[in-house]
Formats: sequence, structure tokens, C-alpha cells
Amino acid sequence: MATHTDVVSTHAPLPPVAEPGMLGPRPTATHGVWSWLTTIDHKRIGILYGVSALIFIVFGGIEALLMRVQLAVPNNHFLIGDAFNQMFTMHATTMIFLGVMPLTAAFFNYVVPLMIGARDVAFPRLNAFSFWVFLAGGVFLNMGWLTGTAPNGAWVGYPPITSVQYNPTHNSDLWAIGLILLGIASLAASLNFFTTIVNLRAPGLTLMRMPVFVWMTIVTNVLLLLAFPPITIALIQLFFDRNFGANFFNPTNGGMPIMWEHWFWVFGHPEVYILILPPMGIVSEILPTFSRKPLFGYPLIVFSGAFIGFMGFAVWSHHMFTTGMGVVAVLAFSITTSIIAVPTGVKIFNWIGTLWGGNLRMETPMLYALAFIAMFSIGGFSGIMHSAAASDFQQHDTYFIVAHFHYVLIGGSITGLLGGLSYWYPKITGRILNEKLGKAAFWTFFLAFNATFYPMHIIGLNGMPRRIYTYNTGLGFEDWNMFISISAFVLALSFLMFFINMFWSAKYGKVAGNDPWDARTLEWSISSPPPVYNFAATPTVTHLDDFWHKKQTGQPIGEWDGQLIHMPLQSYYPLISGAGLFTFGLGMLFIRDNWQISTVVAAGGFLMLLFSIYGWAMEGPGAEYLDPRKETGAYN
Amino acid sequence: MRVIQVGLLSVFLIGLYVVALFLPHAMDGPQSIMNVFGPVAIEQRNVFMITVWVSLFLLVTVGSVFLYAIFRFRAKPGQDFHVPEQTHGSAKVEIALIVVSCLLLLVIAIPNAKALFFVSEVPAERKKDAIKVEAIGHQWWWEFKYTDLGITTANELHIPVGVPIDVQVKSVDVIHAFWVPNLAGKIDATPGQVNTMWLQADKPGTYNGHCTEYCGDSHANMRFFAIADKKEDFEKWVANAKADAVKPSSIEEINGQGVFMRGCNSCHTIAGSGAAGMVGPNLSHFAARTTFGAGIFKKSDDKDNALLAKWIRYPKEMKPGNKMNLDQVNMVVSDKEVKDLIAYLNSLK
Repeated sequence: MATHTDVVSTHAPLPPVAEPGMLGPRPTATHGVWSWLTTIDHKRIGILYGVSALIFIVFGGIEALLMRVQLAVPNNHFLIGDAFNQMFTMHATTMIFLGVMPLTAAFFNYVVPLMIGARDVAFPRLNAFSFWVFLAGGVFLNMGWLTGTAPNGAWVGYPPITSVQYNPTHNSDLWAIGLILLGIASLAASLNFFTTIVNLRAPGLTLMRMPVFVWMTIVTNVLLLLAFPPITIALIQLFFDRNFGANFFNPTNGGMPIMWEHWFWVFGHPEVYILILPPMGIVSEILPTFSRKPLFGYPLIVFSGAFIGFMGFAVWSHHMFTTGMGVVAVLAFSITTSIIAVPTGVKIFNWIGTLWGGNLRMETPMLYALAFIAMFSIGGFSGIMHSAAASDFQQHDTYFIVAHFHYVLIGGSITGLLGGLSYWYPKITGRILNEKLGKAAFWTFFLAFNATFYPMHIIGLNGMPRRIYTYNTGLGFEDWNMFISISAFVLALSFLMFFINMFWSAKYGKVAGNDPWDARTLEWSISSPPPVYNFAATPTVTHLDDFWHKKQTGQPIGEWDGQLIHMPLQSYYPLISGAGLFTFGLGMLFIRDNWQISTVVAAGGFLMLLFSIYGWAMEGPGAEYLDPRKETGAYN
Repeated sequence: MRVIQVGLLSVFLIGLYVVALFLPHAMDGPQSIMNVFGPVAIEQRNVFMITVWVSLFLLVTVGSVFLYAIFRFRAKPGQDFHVPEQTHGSAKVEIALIVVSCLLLLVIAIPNAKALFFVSEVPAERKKDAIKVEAIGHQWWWEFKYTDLGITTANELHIPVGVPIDVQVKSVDVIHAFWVPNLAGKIDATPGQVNTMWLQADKPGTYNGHCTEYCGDSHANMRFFAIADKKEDFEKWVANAKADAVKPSSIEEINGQGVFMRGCNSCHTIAGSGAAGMVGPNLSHFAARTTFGAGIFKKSDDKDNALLAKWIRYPKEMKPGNKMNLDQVNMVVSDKEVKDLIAYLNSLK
């Protein structure tokens, strides 16, 4: 942290009177519920994202376990037909949109501004807006459980199975509106982070000196920006089909179900990279720190990430090899898909290169990072297998695929994210996760994960289709399914251990200090948890891994110049606009049951949104001036 | 302690791989894509095995370098704060690895491209021998139409051994996928669209099929069979299948037909009887099939017809979402009538 000085510059402006918003005075709470509801601090928003994501991951995990109970024995009657279909639809939707994505967003929020030496993101209130709209979407998707009509069209939602003719209740309406809300949240966030990284970097932090996690953040947010419009359009078309008879995807009136599949995967494949690139960035931070060496081939890792992101838009139809696109299209997408193996391989080689010649410390974050490399590679290998379209005709929509994407999404994404949690937990809470319990949780996770998902390759090759709620005896499925179900419960136990560790260590963990890992990037140069304004003195960057360089060469990190620090004020409007969008969605949900009441509710929601947009614009960012000598942690 | 941990772990992981690859019969289930009986599936498995060997090669080489690095370069006790040489990368190594990766991809890409053309369409020189079949997906059963032979049947696709079958895949409602893993990979049945694939069985036998595109409540129950017959058996089957249904002879069968005509006929066809419904499976030769309920129930397990009776009385309990609905056609049936109906159905050889 900046050295405190007794001299306050005489140029420091005096705090002005707080500007009133349209709702009277602006919120100023620094403690309690209101301080969280009105916060615009990227660190608090990061924590909000993280906590909600973990809660949703627990939801998704419970859904998975219920399915595993049903599938443990053949011809089971625990959870059949539509109930099972709701379960797998919501498991996937929850884990992807409400688990992994917001957990990556938690890291974008918490870590990226710290890594680039900024005091907040470019649009702090928009950031809060993103979170509240995300939460609204998450609640929307899960509301169906209350009435037993949760979304049930699979996470890909291929019409006509999601059309009103085959799905007459509100299942797919909840799904469409929920995902549209999440899309709005993601689009706002992507613009915000793109702007932040482009504009708010500390002096000297050129693009090729940025930490890889920041690079992966910017690539991911470009993907979000380009991938969410297609799915939003498709969802609106689906909603119009369902509620206003629009016939976009209705084959009996000339619509084309295949069109949805293209819309969906033009979004869906980049989405996969949206889930994996941030954890790749996290791993690229952990490995150098715990190897005490710079990342091997930094520019190649960066360009590989960007190339993977770019290619993400050139491979979508490999999810559609069996849709009858014709041999030439299948072959073309087969080739583009296999090309992705090259930049991915480059990343893996470079991570191993980073280990080579290093001084590796096997602490928990490092274990997760190493596990990421191993598990993600195995998922990558089965990816190569799928890229060969000729044989993919067989594996497509079997448990072999289920095994593949759980290897990349749990073995890859979640492993990387758990590593990130272990790595930045001291920065966020000021305390280190208990190492013993952390390691126990890691090994349980690692073994149970492999025991759960590896056998899925085998039952997949034995011909078990995915998304089936029951199967017959004598097909070679039953023993492995029992084994998988037991392992899945052990896997759940490992998450429980991780969560217990988080709670325990928040109170009793070893105090971290600024830089518990002897790390390399700027966020470790300030106190843990960081103060509201992050950096009292904006750092000046001269090298890649600048903090490490300064530590090694004994250079001082910048000193506070005595100016009071200008920070924006809290606001009610992001929360209100989120609530407005939620209400608007709620109105639209019942539009074909009772259009009068629905229209009134939707109009109410729209007015709330309109009101908060005006309030937002008129109150302005506001300003308060903080004295670093009097401030402590960012949240209490 | 660490050595034990890592040792156990390696044993565990290697064990999984060994089970997967080398344990005899680990992947020889009746629905396996590894244990195959037709040229299409064999070609697909061969390409798959190439990808497996390439992956195994990568796993072993990259994996051993990775594990070696972890053990070789771990911090020695007391040296936690030793700072190693700060190297940033090597262009030569990178370029070499990229070139090797691209070459490995070519090893897969070329056989894949060749196989892709082979599996997508009946080879030109064999087209004239091919039998054309339309496979039409319904929620939740398959209709098979032999367009040249004038046969319509359901859930059991009879094919002659050694003859290519040109399959036109369609759907009347939602998206399904047609898949007989032992014989060929799958293709989607998308409404408003005709997709083609081909398959051939080289050995007589009954091969499992399963819908593989999620299609609603009973997706799990949308099973079928491809039954490969010797040429003469197939011809016998064709002759029987082309003929009208057997006329009822016993008093029970005649009564049963009467029950059938009270409502079943609005959805089901029985050729020659006047029942011409198009919604449900064609039952003209119901008794010649080995299963009912879209391949869920084997008749050999139902000698006393108890399951069939339950199927007729409580169709939704037997299969979630079942579209067979007696209320819809205002049918009330007594136990005796169900018995008669079963007698009639079982007479339809």
C-alpha cells in the first residue's frame, strides 16, 4: 500500500455537497444490506456475483445429484419423464449461465481493475446494473420450480420441442425471458469491461504487458458482445412464435427448425469459449506465481487465446454434423474444428514450458492449475475425436459427449475457477484458505471428478444416448451408472469441503498480508482486502509482471501524492432498473393467458426502467473525496 | 507421503484407461459403437480408432513431459524462495510444436474426409441394389415405409443382410434422430426436411436402435430395432408384410376387432380391415413383431399378455406422455374387451 504521508496537498478539492438524485439524497450506506444493494464498487459487485454463482452452482449440483439417483439403476422410477427433463434442462442452463459465467464475471469484476491499476471499472453503475439484471434472469429461470413447470426443452431448446404446440405451459417462456435478461446483463458487462481494459490501464501498462487474465477477459468480452445478439434474436423469435403465432421455427407454416439450430450454435460455440477462456487466464496467472517464473511464450498464449476466440465463430456447425447439412459443410466445419486443437495445444505446451526450470510450490491454487492442464487436455483429446465428423456421427448425443464437455467444463472451467478462488481468496478476505482442508478438498474433487466422468466415455461408446431418464438392463450400462452415481455424491462432498473451508477460513484463516504468494501482478501490491479506491497512488508500469519486477529489483511502488481520491457515489437506479426489467419480463410471461393484466404489469416494469434510466442520467456519477489515511477495507 | 498420493492417483487413472481400452468386452454391449456389423459403422469406428491413437500418442508424450516437469522442478524443502532463471520462451520450440500438431491433425483429417464421403451416401456402384426406406419419427416411435415395396411398419426395421439400405429420415412433429449404433451413425429427423443416410448389416441379427435427439417426455423410451434377415427370410417377411392383415377367425378375435373399430381405428391402420388411422403405428402385422410400445416391451417377457393389457388400459403409466389415449376417442373398455382385443392383435401375423 502507498506510504502514508502527513502532508495533504493544498490543491486537494474539498468534498462538495452530495448531489441529490430523483429519489432524494443518494444512498451513502457503508454497512448492512443497503450498502450492498446500492453498491457500485467493483469489488463488492464481484463478491455479489461470486456468492450468487456459488449458490446457483449448489442448485445445479442438487439437480445433477437427483438425476444421478434416477440413473443409478436401470428402469428406475425416482424421477421420470418430464420431471427428469426439467432437471437436465435446468442443470445445464444453471451451470452454464448462472454458475460458471457469473463466477468468471466475479473474477472480471474483482480482479481486472486491480490488475490494471484502476480505481473501478469504466461504468460503475452499469456494472451494478449488469449484476441486478443477471440476478433477475437467474430468479426467472428458477421460478418454474415453484409451479413444477421449469424449463424442459434441454439447454439447446430446439424448436419444435420448445414450441407452444409441444410445450403448452410456461416452461419455455420462462427459459426464453430468463435468457434474454441474462443476455442484457452480459452485453452491458461486456461493453463495460472492454472499455475498462482499453481505457483505464495504469500508465505504462501497454497491451503486451497486461496479465494474461486481463487478456482473456477482453477476448471473452468481445465474444460475449458478438455472441449474445444472435441468441437474443433467436429467443425473441421463439417467444414470438410461442405467444404471437410468428412461425419463425414452425415447419407446418414454412418456418425452419434448423434455423434455430444455427442461431443457437452461432452463439453456443463462442459461449463454450466464454466459459473456458477466463479459467485459462486464471491458470496463466497461477502457474507463473507458483513456478516463480514468467509465463513461457507470453505473446503466443495471448494470441492463441485471441485466435481461439476468433475461431469460436467458425466452428458452430460441429454441433450440427448430424442435421443433414451436406458433406461439404460437414467437412469444412470438421476441419475448422480440428484447427482449434493447434492454439489450444500451444497453450498447454506453454504452460508446461512455464513449469520447466521453475521452482514449483505445490500449494492449493497450484494443484488446481495443474489439474486444469491435465483434465482440460483429456477433454481436448475427446474434442479432437469429435472433430472427425465421420466418427462423430456415432458419438454425437451419447454419453461420450457428456463425458467430453464435463471434462472441459468441470475439469477445465470449474477446476480453473476453484483454483482462482483459492488464489484470490486471500486478496478478497484478507485470510488464506486452510491449506490442509484445501488440499483434502482438492484431492477429493480430483479423484471423484475422474471417477464420475471418465466412465461416461465407456457407457457412451457402449451406445448410451444422453438426455434419457431410463435405460434397460443388459446393455452394459448398469454397473458403470451405479459407479458414476456414487462418485457424483463424493464429488458433491468435495464441493462441500471447499465451501466449509471458505466459511471457516474467513474467520479463522491465517492472515494473508498484501502478498501471500509472492505473486507477480499489481493486485498483490495493495492491502488485502483492498481499500475502496484500490490504489492510493496509481502505479506506473515498466515491465510485464511489473510488481514482481519491482520486488526483484527493489524499486518502490508509487507513493500517494497527497491528493484526496475522487470516487463515484452509490446509486439506487441500477437496482431499480433491474427490478423494472424483471417486472417487464413477468408481465410478458403471461401475455397469452391474460393480455390485459400482463400488459399493465409489463408497462409498469417498463416505466420503472424508464424512470431509473432518467434518474440515472440526471444524478450523474457524483463524487466523493476520500483520504487514504482514514479509510480501511472496501467492505465491512 | 506425496509419492504415495501421486502413485495412487496414477494407478487410479491408468486403471480407468486400461478398463476402457483393454478390458475384454468392456465396450461390447449390444448397443456399442465399437462392436459393429456393417460397412458404415466399421468405417466410422476405424476413423474413431485413428483419433484414439493420435490422442493416446499425445497423452503419453505431453503427459510424461508434464509429469516429469512437476517432479523434476518442485521446490526442494527449504528452497521455497529460490528464484529460478527468468526465461520467457523459445521460438524454435514453439514453431516445432505447432508444425508437429498440424501434421498430427492431417493424420486424422485425410481418413476422416474419405470416410465422410463414404458414410454419407450409398456408394454409386451399389445404388441400384439399395432398398429405399423412409424412417419417420413420431413422438415417441418410428414409422418405417418401404416406398418401393409398398410396406408400412413400425419400430422394427427388417433389412436383408448384405444389401445397402438407403434411409430417408423425416419427422412429423419434433426433431428426432435415427440411430442404429451397430450399423451406422445417426442423422436427425427434422420436420420439414428430408435427411439421408445409409446402412448395411453384414450379419443376420437384431440390432438396437434409439432416438438420439431429445424429443420430449418419452425420449428415453423411443427405441427400435433393425432386424437383419437372411435374403430368403427377408423375402418371406416382405411377402407377409405386403399382404392384408389376417381376418379374425375365432369369436374372441371377431369381438376384438369390434372393440378395435370403436376407437383404436381412428389412429391405427390394420390393412384390409377398414381401420386406416395414420396417427399411431400400423398394426397390420402386430403379431409378427417381437416387441411393442416402441421397443420398450419384449413380447417374450409377456407370455401372459399382462403387460400388453396394462399397455392398453393405462398407456400413460407405461410410457410418460404417451399419445395413445383412450379417453380421447371416448373408449371405455372392460376386462373382457381388453382380452378380446389382445386375442385379435395377437392373431395379426
